Amino acid sequence: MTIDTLRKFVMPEVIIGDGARNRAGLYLENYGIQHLLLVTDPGVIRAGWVDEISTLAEDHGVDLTVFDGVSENPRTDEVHAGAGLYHRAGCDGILAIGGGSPMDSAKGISILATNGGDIRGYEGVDQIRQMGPPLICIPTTAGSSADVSQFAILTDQAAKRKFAIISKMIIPDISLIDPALLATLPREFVAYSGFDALTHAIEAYVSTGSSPLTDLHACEAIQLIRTALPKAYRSRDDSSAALSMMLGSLHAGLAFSNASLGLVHAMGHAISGMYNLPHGEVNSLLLPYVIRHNFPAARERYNRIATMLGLPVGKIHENGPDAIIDAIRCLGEDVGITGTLGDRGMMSSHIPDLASSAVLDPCIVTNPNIPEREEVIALYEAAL
Amino acid sequence: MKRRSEPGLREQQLLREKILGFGEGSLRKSHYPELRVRLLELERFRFILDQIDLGIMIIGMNDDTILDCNEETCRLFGKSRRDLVGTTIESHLHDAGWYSRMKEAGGGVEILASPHFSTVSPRYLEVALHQVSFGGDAYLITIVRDITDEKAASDTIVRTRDMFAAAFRLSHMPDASEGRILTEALQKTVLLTQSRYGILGVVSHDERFFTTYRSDAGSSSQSGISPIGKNGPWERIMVGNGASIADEGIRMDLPITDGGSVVAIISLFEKAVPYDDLDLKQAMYLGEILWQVILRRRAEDRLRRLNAELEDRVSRRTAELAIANSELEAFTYSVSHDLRTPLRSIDGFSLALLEDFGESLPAEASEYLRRIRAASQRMGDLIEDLLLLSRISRKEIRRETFSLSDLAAEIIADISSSHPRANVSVHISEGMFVSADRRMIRIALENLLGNAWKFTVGKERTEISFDMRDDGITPVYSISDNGAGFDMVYAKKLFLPFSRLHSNEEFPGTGVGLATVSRIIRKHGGAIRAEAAVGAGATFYFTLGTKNEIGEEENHVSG
Repeated sequence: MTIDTLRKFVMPEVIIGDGARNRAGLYLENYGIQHLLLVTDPGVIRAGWVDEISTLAEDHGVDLTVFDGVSENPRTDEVHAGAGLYHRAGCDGILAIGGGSPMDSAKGISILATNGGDIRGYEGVDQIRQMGPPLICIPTTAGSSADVSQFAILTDQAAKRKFAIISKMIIPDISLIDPALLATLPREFVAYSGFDALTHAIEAYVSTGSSPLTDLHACEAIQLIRTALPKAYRSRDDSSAALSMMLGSLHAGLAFSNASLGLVHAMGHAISGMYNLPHGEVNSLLLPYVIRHNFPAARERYNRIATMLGLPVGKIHENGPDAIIDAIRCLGEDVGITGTLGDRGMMSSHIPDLASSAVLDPCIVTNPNIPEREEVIALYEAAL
Repeated sequence: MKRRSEPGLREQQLLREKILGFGEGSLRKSHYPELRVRLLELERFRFILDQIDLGIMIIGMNDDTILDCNEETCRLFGKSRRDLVGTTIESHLHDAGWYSRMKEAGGGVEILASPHFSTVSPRYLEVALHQVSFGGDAYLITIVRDITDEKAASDTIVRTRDMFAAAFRLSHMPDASEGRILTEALQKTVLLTQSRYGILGVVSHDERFFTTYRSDAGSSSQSGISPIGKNGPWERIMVGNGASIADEGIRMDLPITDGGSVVAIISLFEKAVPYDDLDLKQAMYLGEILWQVILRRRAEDRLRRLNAELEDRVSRRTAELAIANSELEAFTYSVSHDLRTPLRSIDGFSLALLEDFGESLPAEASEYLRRIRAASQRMGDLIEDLLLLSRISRKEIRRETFSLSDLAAEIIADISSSHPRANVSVHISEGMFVSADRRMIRIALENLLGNAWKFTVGKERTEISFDMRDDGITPVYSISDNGAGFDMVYAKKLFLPFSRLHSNEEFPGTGVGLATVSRIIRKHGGAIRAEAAVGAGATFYFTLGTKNEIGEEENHVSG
C-alpha cells in the first residue's frame, strides 16, 4: 500500500447556477422518493425557501415532513429527534436546505436511517457500513461545503464537545447550488462562511493528503474567494459575486473533502464544541497562528497561496509567513472580522482541555506540521 | 518537524488512509451488491409466484388497470403477460359483475360457475379480492383458484351418494305397485341429473306400444299409452342406437335393456347446463337398478302366487290323505280284530275235532286238520303283527335317554333262552346311549336281532354284532350277522309289508317285521338300509336322527 502515491477523488453530482434549486423535483423522482424528510432551520423557513420546496414536492406527488429542529452547531439529540421523525413519518429520502448545520444534521439522520443506533457510535473515520437513503443538498451559504464533503461535524451537548464523522458514505447524492439563495443570508454569515471556505481551501492545499486534483480546486477556490468575498459581503445583490462565492465554496469543498484538512479545523472543532461560536469566525481567527506554525513545513505551498492572495513576489520572500498572515488579516478586516478569540469569550483556563481535544481530532493527521499538545496550547494562548 | 511516538504515528497513518478514502467502507461503497441481493430476492419471489397454481393480479384501484400478474393468471386468461399488463381488467372479462361487486364491498370471495375469464379457462373459479395499499397508493389484489377438478370431484361424490340412496330407496319399496316404483324411479333420475322433467316409457310385451310416465305429472303416477312405430327418438333407441345426449345437451335418452332387448326408455330434459357423461352414467345405473327391481318384483309375485297355489294343493291333498289313512287304519284294525274271532273258532273247532273224533277219523283227515290249525295260527300271528304295525303308525314317539347297549343285551338274552343254540358269539358295543322312544326301539331291535338269530340257524357258529359309528353329527348303528343273507336285487322290497325273501318253511315269519322296523326308524327321523349277499350274512344300518334334531327336540320337550 503506497498511501503516499495513491489518491482518490470523490464528489457528488452537482448542478450549479441560477434556479438549480428548482431541479429538486426531478431528483425526487429520480430517487423514487415517496415521502421526503426536509431538514432545515427556522431561518431558512423564514426566508421562504422551504415553501418553494414544499410546492415542488407536492407537484411531484411526494409527501413531505419538515424537520427544523437544528441549532447553529447541530447536536446529537437533534439528529436523534430527526431520525425518529424520519422513521415515524415513513420517509424514504432526505433533502437538506440551509447552511452546514442542517446538512450535517441530515447526514446524521441519513446514517441512523439505515444503520440505526446512536449517532455517537459513528464518530471517527470510515465507521459506516450501510449507505443511507437518497440525500439531496441545497446549500444556502457559501462556506461549509457540507453539500459535497464527506464530513459531518456534530456537537455532543452532554460532553460539551464537537466530533467529526468522516466517511465517503455520507457524501450527498446531489448538490443543487443556487447562488440566488445567498441573497437572504445575513451579512456576517456571508463573511463567516466565506472565511470557512477560504480556510478549507488553504488547509486542503497544504494538506499532506493533497493531490494535483485537489490542488486544482484549492487554488481556484482561494482566487475566487479572495476577489468575491468582499464584494459579496458589501452587496448581497451582486449575483456575479454570489455565483463566484458559491463556486469558490464548491471548489474548496471538493479540495478538502478529498485532501482533508489540518490544524485550524482540529483546533476550531474543539473551540466551537465548548463555545457556541460560528465555525467560520473561529477558523478565521485561528488561521494566522496555524500558518505561522506550519510555514516551515510547507513553505513552498504557503508562498504560492500568498501569490494567489495577490501579494507581490518580493514581499512574499521578504516577510515569510507574516506577508500571508497580513493578507488574511486584511481580508478579514475587509469583511468585519476583527479581534481575538479572547474577545469572543474563550477562557485561558479551558485551553488545556481544548488542546487535548484538538490533538485527537482526525483533521490533524494531514496537517503538514503535526504538533505536540504543548504546541497546541501555545497556539491557543497566542490566539487568545 | 517533531514526530510523535511510533505507535501514535502508525495510528495516524491508518487514520490518514481512511480520510483519503482508502478505508474499508469507502473502498467498498456501492449500492450494487445490495441491489443485486434485492433483485435476486425479487426474482426468486417472481419465480415462486409463477410456480403456484393461483392466479394473482395486482390491479390499480383508480383505473382498474392490471399492473402485474403471474403465470397462472396468463393461463386462466389464455393470454400473455404483455397482453394483460397495462390494460383494464374489465376488457378481459365476459362479465365484470363479480369484480365491481367485490371492489365496492372492499373485498370478498366468490365462486364463479360460468366462463368469466377466457373461453379456454375452466368453468369453476374461486376468486378472492383484497384491498391493499403500499407506497401511498391503493391497489386491488385478486387471487383466482381453479376449483373445477375439486368441485367436479366433490359433486361426483355427492351425486354418487344420492344415486346410491335413490337406488336403495327403489330397492326397498316392498308394498308399492310397479307403477309407483316406475314413477319414483323417474323422479329420482330427474332429481339426480338436475333435469327439469323426464319421461319413462316401458315397452309392452308385444312391443306394440309404450306405457309412459312423466315426472312432472304430479304425485299421482299419471301414465299414458304411446304406440311404437313412429320414427321418433325412442324408436331409434329401440333399434339399438344406445344412449345419447342430443339437442346440444338439453336432452338425454337412454335405454333400459334386458338380455339385449330394450325394455324401457328414459328421456330427460332441460338441465341448466348441458348433460355430461356423469349424468348419463348415473341415469343408466338407476335405470338398470330400476329394471332389476321390477324384474325381482315380478319374480316375487310369480313365486308368491305359485307358493299360495302349492300350499293350497298340499293342504287339500293332505286332508284327502288323512281321511284315506284313517279309513285304512280303521279298516286294518277292524279287519285284524274282527278276523281273530272266526280264526279262533276255526282253530278251536279243528282242535275239538281232533281231540273228540281223532281216533275215528282217517289219518289223512287228521293230517288235514293239523294243517288247518297251523295255517290259522300263522294267520293269527299275521294279524297280531298287522295290529302292531297299525298301532305304531298311529302312535306319537316319546323320547327318553337310555342305553341301547343294555337294551340289546336284554333282548339277546331273551332270544337265546327261548331259542337256545350252541356256539354263539354276540358282540354288543358298550355305551351306546340314545334319546328315543324306548318301547318302539325295543320292538325294532327285537325284530332286527331276532332276524339275525333266525337267519343264522344252521350255521356252525352264530356271529352277531351291534356297533355304532359316530361322525359327530349322526350316529350310525349297525347290526350284522353271518347268516343266510339275501340278494341285493331285492333290497328295495325288504321293508315293504308282506314281502318275504325266504319261504316260510326255510325261515318262518310274517313279512311285516322289517316294515314295522322301518316305520319306527322313520318316526324317529332316521333311516335304515341293508347290505347283504346270499350266504354271506347281512348288515342293517340305521340312524335315529341327527344329534342336533334330537337335542333340539329334547330342549323343546324339556322347555
